This record gives sequence, C-alpha cells and structure tokens, in this order.
Amino acid sequence: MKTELRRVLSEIACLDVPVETLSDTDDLYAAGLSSFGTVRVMLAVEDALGIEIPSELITFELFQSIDSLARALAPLVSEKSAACRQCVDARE
Amino acid sequence: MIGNPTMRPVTFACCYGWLHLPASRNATTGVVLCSPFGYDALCVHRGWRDFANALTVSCGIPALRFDYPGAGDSGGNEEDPQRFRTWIDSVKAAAQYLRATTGVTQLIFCGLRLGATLAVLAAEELGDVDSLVLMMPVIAGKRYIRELSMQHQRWLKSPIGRESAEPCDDERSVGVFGFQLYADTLEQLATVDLVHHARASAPRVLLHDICDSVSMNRLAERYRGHGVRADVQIFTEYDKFLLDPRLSVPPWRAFDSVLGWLGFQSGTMATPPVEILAPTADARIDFAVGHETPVVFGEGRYVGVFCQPRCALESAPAVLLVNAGAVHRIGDGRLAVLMARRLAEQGIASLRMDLGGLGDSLHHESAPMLEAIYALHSVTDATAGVEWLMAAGHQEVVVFGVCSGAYVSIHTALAHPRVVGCMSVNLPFFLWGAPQTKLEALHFESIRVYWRAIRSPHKWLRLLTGRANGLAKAIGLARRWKVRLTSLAISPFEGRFGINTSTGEIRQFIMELERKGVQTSLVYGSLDAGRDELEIHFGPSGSQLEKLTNVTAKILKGVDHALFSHTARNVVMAHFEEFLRDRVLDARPPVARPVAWTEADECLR
Repeated sequence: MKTELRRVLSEIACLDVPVETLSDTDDLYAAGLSSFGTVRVMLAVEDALGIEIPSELITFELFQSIDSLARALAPLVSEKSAACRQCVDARE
Repeated sequence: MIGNPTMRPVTFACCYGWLHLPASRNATTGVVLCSPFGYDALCVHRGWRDFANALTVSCGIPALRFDYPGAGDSGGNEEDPQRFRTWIDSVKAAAQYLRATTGVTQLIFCGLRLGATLAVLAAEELGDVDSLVLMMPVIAGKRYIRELSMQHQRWLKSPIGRESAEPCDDERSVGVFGFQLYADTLEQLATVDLVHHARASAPRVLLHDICDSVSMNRLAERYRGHGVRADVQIFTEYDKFLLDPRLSVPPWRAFDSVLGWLGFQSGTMATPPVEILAPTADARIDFAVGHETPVVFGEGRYVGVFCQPRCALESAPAVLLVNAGAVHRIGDGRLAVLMARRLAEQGIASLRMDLGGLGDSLHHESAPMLEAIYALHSVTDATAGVEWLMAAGHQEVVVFGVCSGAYVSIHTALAHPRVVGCMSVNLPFFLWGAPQTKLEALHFESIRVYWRAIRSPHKWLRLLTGRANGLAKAIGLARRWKVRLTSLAISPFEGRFGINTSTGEIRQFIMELERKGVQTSLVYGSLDAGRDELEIHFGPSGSQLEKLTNVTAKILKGVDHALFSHTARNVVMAHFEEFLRDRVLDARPPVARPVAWTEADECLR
C-alpha cells in the first residue's frame, strides 16, 4: 500500500521535495503538504484504493507521514478485501 | 480613445463587481472572470484582481469580475433558494453587462474552481462564447461536495473547531471555513458531471490543473470529440494560490500562460497598479431594510461599501468595519456583509473598507507585506474611513474588528477624536512589535488548548514519538509564562525607578482609552490565544478591567478565532448589537473623569 501512497503523493500532493527523498516517517507537512493538498490526496487515495475514508479518520495527524497514512488506512483496505472475497465466494 | 487602465466598482442584476478597462477603449474582446465559491474566493481575491488588471494592462482587453448573488458584496444570502441556478444566470448577466458597457463582440469566460464549472454551464446556455479558460474546474459536483465535507471534517478535528462545532451543520449543508452550500444547491451541484455532459461550449477551451489527472484528460478528449480545440496545461503553483489569504501567492506562470494562449504577450508580474475610479451613480445593491453603495475614497486609494438603512436611527453613530488579516472587506464567513445588513435593520449605517494593500484598495509602495501593512499604515487607513463617514454626515463612529482588525479597531479608537466606541474580537496583541505579532506566532494556540492536550495520552504519544513539534510549543509557552511572571514580579515597581515593562505600556494604553471615554469592548473566544495576552496583563478573564468605567472584557463560549462557525458569527453579532444599544446608544456613560497616570495605574493594579 505504501507504494500506492507514494505514487499518489508524487502525482497529487505538490510537495516541495520529491517523494523519493522522503522516508516513511518524514513529516509531510514539513515537506510542503498544504491543507488543499491533503484533500486532494484523500480523494485520490479513495480512488486508488477503492475505499471511503470515514470522517473520524480525517484528522491533521492522518497526513503526518506515509507511515501514519498507511497505519490508518490498512484496516479499511483489509475490510474491503474481505468484503470482495465474500462477494466472490457468494458468486461461486 | 486612449486613457489610463482603470478599475471601477459596478453593480448589475443584484451582483457587485469590478469593471477593469484598458487604456485603449476600442477592444472587441472582453473577459468575464468567474471567481470560485466560498473560502476559495476569499483566498484568491487579491490575486484574481491582479489577473484582471493584467488582462487590461498587458492585453488591452476589458475584464469584469464579480461576486455571485449571496456571495461577497452582492445581494442576497448563500442560504437563499436556487443558488446554483442563480449563479449560472449571474454569469450570463455579467456577459450581457460587459457587452453593453464596453461594446465588445467577442467573449472569453475564465473561471477558477467552481467558477470554471459555472462558466461552462453558462457558456453552453448562451452558445456564443468564443473561448473558455477553465482553471482547476470542478469536473464532478459530487466530488466537490465530498472535498468540502473533508475540509470541514479536518477543521472540526482541530481544538478550536471542536469547541465551535455545530451539531446540525452536517445535516443541513456542506461547507468549510464559514461558507456553506445548502440542500437545493447541493442537489443541483451533485448532478454536474462535465465529462459526461461535455458539449461544444466554445470553439476553444483551455484546461488548467494542478497535476495530470485522468478526469481532466477525459474532459479534454470529450471536448475534442465535439470539434473543440482543447488544450491541457499543468501548474503546480495553484497549490500555493488556494491558501489562507495571508499566504496565498498568485500563480503568475499560469496567468502568463493564459495570456499567451489567448494570443497576447505575457507579463502579468510586471503589471503596474491601475487607477481606481469612483462608482457610477446608479451602482447600488438594494435589500429589504436598506441599500449599499460602493465607495472609493482617500484620493482613489481606498475601497469600501457603504451600507445605509432605509429608516435611520436618529443620532446613531455609524460603524466602521475593518479587515481581519489579509481577508478582503467582506470578512471571514462574510461576517462584515452580514453584520452591515443586520445593523441596517436597526437603523445603523456602516462602512466596510479595505485597508491599503488589502482587498481592492491600492497597496502602499513601502509596505507590500502584511505585517508592514498593519504595523505602519493600518490605523492611518482606518482613520481615513472614519473621516469618510464623518464627511457622509455621521458625527460619531464605532469601529469593529476581528483578529488584526481588532488591533486596528482599538488603536483607531484612541487615535481619532470622533470614535466613541470600539469592539475588538479576538485581539491577538495590544501593541505591535512584540514577538507574538509575527505571522508564525498566530499559529500558536491558547494555553488552554495545550493544557487540554497534556491530559490526552494520544497527544503524549505523538510528542514522545517525535510526531509533534514539542520544542516549538514549549518555547511559545515559556515565553508567555515569562511575560506573565515578569509582569507579576515587577508590577509593584512599574513606572518607578525607571522600570517599564510591556504590561505597563499596555496598561497605559488601556487607561488612555478609558480617559478618552471610548466605550471599548474586548471580546475573546474561550480558547482564543488572544485571551492569554489579556490574562497576562489584566488577570483571569481580564478581571482587573472591571475597575474601569469604559473598558470591558468578555469571554464568549463557542467562538473560534476567525468566526468560521455560523454560531460564532451570530453570537458576536448579537453581542455587538447589545454593546451598541447598552453602551453607546441608550446609556452613554459619562466620560471617565480625568485621572493622573499614577492613580490610573493603581486602579489597574
């Protein structure tokens, strides 16, 4: 998932530095992520991962780093995968 | 005909706007600028104005920018029905107005964000627009609604946002930072999908985006499929444009590119300021209990809107509303417009003005930066507003301001003899020059916010794992405690043995207001950082001010710093009305008897 997040950040976030130079724990705000940028990233992440980020997850801390994003979004992605598996099982 | 490039306030179809005219008055092409909605419009106001000037100066073509009905200085409210339909109609009305007043035969619609979407829809209905420039258009309405909702959620999670949260917000509307879209507008907006409904809105379309996106490329393809010449350009600098007006930087490369695409020589950055002309005699916005007229004063330097009641209250002072931060005269959440119209309901006239360098007023050559504007010129500028009100027949004036406007308010109150009252909301500092006047210090929260954070295990975890900048916060807190402790320790010796502290200076300033007899109300949200400054110098909740006759402090719950929340705006407006009624209109208390400084100092101790 982090690869996907890095791709989104690279394409959408308009950071001041290339995403490749950031570690997973580096502060994204310090790297130039704007408030408008966070919303763009959220929408793009939703599209890329096929999830909807619930309002309780939308906090300042969510975008602190690639790690914080991955940690918060992992349960949503797992949930979605499980739901997909159930769908496939039901069809079979 | 040759003259100077000019900009003039105009009104049409209930809309307030600016007509920018080039030096040569024989242009055949004109541009209708469709601004974004809500907070986006607040962020880009000054840059959007500069772009309009660039079109007239560099390209020699007239441009019309305007506020949609229910937005900016235009008539109506954002909660009025059928906003989306009305906004599309207003773009069409703007086109008609531009044609009628300038004689242009070819039209370009240029819109930003939601304004770009409105430009497309209006152009489709008109069918005779020659070119469309769409800067970061809202391609799908549903996605835009989700975006606003996400931004609002982020704000609600901040300590101040939590404090001012309104439970009914989510159910009745969607919006962010004081601007809302209501049910029927949301319904109409949700059906918008430019990709699926793209038609040949104009022979040429220029699309700008912040990054290469699938939806933008699809839209361009759809246009090309309809025989439209569609070009896509990417400018990451838009990310720095849609920021808090204090930080917003116009996307000059993107603007230059638009000029080039339209076939003109680029060079927007070199655009000199243009002359601001007085409004035409028929420029006015009517509403149920009064009307508003644009005004240009101070030898064409300052711009404002004069709001007059239909039934004026005899001998009532007029109210001067000044800018907050870099936000133009309408204020955050359109506070100044709403307040002006509420005051008119009570028979009170008001002027909301742009200080030099803000909104539409000319900038001071020596002070291009926001800090310098406030430090060097703001009180002089506001004084010009007071003088204008006096010339309009109002012998007494009350000044109102929020944040840095609160600073302007109390200092203008002291500076001008005809100012009889002032309300300062969330005043961040009393005097300019202290470290807390630096812009970065304005991000520092109230001590109460950090006190709450201390009791949160989650916040400790963030601090200990290095995910919060604990050092910066500790330095900020230490500074405040140092000032507070110094003030307490030195207070008994203030003014003696050559000892003078900032607290002494501030107390002296407040005592001068008291002696002048200016009815002064200092109002703070319960979690506002300005409250710390009040308490450092005047005790808990400003309790030491209770000894004064004319200066009071009040802490209001649920009031965020910029009054983004609907409730906060209503609470403050009601409080201001009460202040005017009780302390200025009905029971004008006698001017405080003159007291010697030593006696006054004792009084404040």
